Amino acid sequence: MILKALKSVKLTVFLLILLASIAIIGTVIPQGEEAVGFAMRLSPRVFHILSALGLFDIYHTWWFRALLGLISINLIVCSVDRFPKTWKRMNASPPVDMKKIFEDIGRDQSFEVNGNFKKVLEKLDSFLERRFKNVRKKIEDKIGYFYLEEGRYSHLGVYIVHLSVIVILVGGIIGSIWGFEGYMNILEGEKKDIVRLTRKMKVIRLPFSIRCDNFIVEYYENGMPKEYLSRLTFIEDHKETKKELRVNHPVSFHGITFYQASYGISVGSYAKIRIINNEEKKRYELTLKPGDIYKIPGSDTVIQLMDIKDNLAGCGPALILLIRKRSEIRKLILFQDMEKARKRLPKQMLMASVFDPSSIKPYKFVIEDIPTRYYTGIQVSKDPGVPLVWIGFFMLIFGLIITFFTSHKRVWIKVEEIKENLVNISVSGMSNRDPVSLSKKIRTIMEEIKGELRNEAI
Amino acid sequence: MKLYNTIILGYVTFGYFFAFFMYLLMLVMKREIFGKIGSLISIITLLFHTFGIILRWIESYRLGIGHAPLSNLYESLIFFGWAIMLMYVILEWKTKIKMFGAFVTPIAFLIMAYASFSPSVNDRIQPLIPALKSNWLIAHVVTCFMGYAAFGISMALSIIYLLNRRSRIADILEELNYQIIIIGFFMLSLGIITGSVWAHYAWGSYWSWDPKETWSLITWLIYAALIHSRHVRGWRGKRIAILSIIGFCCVLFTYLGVNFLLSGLHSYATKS
Repeated sequence: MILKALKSVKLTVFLLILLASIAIIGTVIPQGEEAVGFAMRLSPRVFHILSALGLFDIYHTWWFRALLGLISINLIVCSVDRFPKTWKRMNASPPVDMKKIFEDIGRDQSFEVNGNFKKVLEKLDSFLERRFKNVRKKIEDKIGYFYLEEGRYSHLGVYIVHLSVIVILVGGIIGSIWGFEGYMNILEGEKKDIVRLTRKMKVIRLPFSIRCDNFIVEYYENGMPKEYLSRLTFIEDHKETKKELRVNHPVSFHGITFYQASYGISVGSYAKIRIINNEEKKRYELTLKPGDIYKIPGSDTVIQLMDIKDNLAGCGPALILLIRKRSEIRKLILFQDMEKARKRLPKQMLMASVFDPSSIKPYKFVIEDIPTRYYTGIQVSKDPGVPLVWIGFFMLIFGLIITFFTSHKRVWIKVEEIKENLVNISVSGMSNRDPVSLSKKIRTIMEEIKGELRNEAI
Repeated sequence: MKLYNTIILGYVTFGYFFAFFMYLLMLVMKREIFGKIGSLISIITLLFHTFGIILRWIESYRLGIGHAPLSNLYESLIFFGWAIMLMYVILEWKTKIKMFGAFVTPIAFLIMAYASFSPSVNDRIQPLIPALKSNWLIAHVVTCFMGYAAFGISMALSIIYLLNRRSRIADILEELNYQIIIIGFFMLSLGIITGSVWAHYAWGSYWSWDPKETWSLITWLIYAALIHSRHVRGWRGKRIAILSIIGFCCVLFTYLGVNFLLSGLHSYATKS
């Protein structure tokens, strides 16, 4: 009963349409990371229902995978069920003297030649033997039959196509079990070996580390981006390998592939600050890294750089300083772009002493420079299923060509003596599909026979 | 620098309109001569269309940003129109049936008119952004749009079939329709595969359920269902014609609907 259902092509068509419908839902409801904004607009109840059904990540739910599995089983059962019949049909050898096939042939499928029957037969025989493989014949007193076939393998095309779908799906499964997909952002000049996985709250550590030597964006004259390029160094046990990474030109290292995916700008690891002592008319220029402590000479004031922020409160890069004068400790936040901070933050807030660079007398703190650096966004993936998927793609194309553009053509040729020195030659055939190419085939065979018999006048 | 490709391609639009008009006259007046004029205009316009595409290619090199004219919405529409007319001219030449022209040329005309005269379609030659700088671009776009074109013609044949179900040519139409669908299905398969391989090299994943990918798969599934129901369940005629029309709606959604209504990785194919 179940087997019978699985054998039916009705089920196949139903499953294909079902798969298409579910796929449509997945394009209407935003999926994965994009679902966040959409989900926030929903009422909690609707959200819970959709979320429980996995509708924000349809393509990775168990039931979607089960559907793919069911399609595969249907495919396999159908193929196994039909294959013996196909095999039989493919290898069937019909009688050479199939009289029925000549019953209602067109006028253009036969012609007459003047000549001795035996001689015509002989010529034709040697010609066909030369021209085609595996010609079968049956020759009687006044009549002779020849049979030849072409494109027998055409029956197998559809099985290659179906097998290719299974191969592609298996490749996908292998990739999802033994592969991973993630990303890493590396600042220019820094090195990393941690990959954040996409779609999973997990990180993995690579057996080597990657340093981004520099990142370059090139532009066309009109301002459109032309090239994103990362110069990377792969470091493994102090051995360095340099590689260039560009969009569309991934780099592989130890079976893991890296793709240029994005980039961004981030503050560097240090900042330059100027301290002005207004009373003594002295200036101090310093370069600090987060955590660095500096004692202003000839005073009891100590400053420490706590942090360098990329983008503090949406006002761009900023420094957080701690300033200690004897037992008093004060915090100071300096924005690099004060104009921007004035626009974005309320006035009262900025008047607070924590934002005032000259609130600690007699000093004034000025940001000289917060160097920014590019970071390169690299997509990292390892997918051992890819070769199988490629094989599947190749099989799919190959199978489709065989299925759609070749056919099993069987051709019969009848040679018959009508009277002394007048011989009739008829050609007919049949095909598993594509009657057009069969009649073309019959026409060319007839032309060739005519040509052959004309060449050597009998 | 003055560029001529868009001017020529603009005139091509009118060429297809005149061809359509002639085919229509042939149907209404029942005079063979108009069909012949329609074919002649179609072929000449197609030649100009080809010339326009080649010229655009050459002119992109003269601008110093040379690339095949297959990189944005305008260029894809132009190629889509070209592929439809190329297939149509071959079909007419092989079958000698001119009445199809009255249904195919208006499609080509509308595509070309949208490309040439819609203010929202930018016809400037722009340099390739890094994601599009790949050898897969030509293979992917050409195969996809050949497939789309075949499905477009199949839709036209399906409409003709539904209007002429009792006429003499119904059987020929049905067989022809199926042959075209097969070509479209093969091309779409190639298009999806080349796109998938390209995605693997550009984004690190051969399939990421991006809306465009998903919709191309939906289209593929619809036509796969059509082929199976015809082959194994013996569906013919009306049902196949209706499925083919549904299939082409999916094609249009994959091509245009996804860009305008859904977001995704193919954002460079949108208007600007």
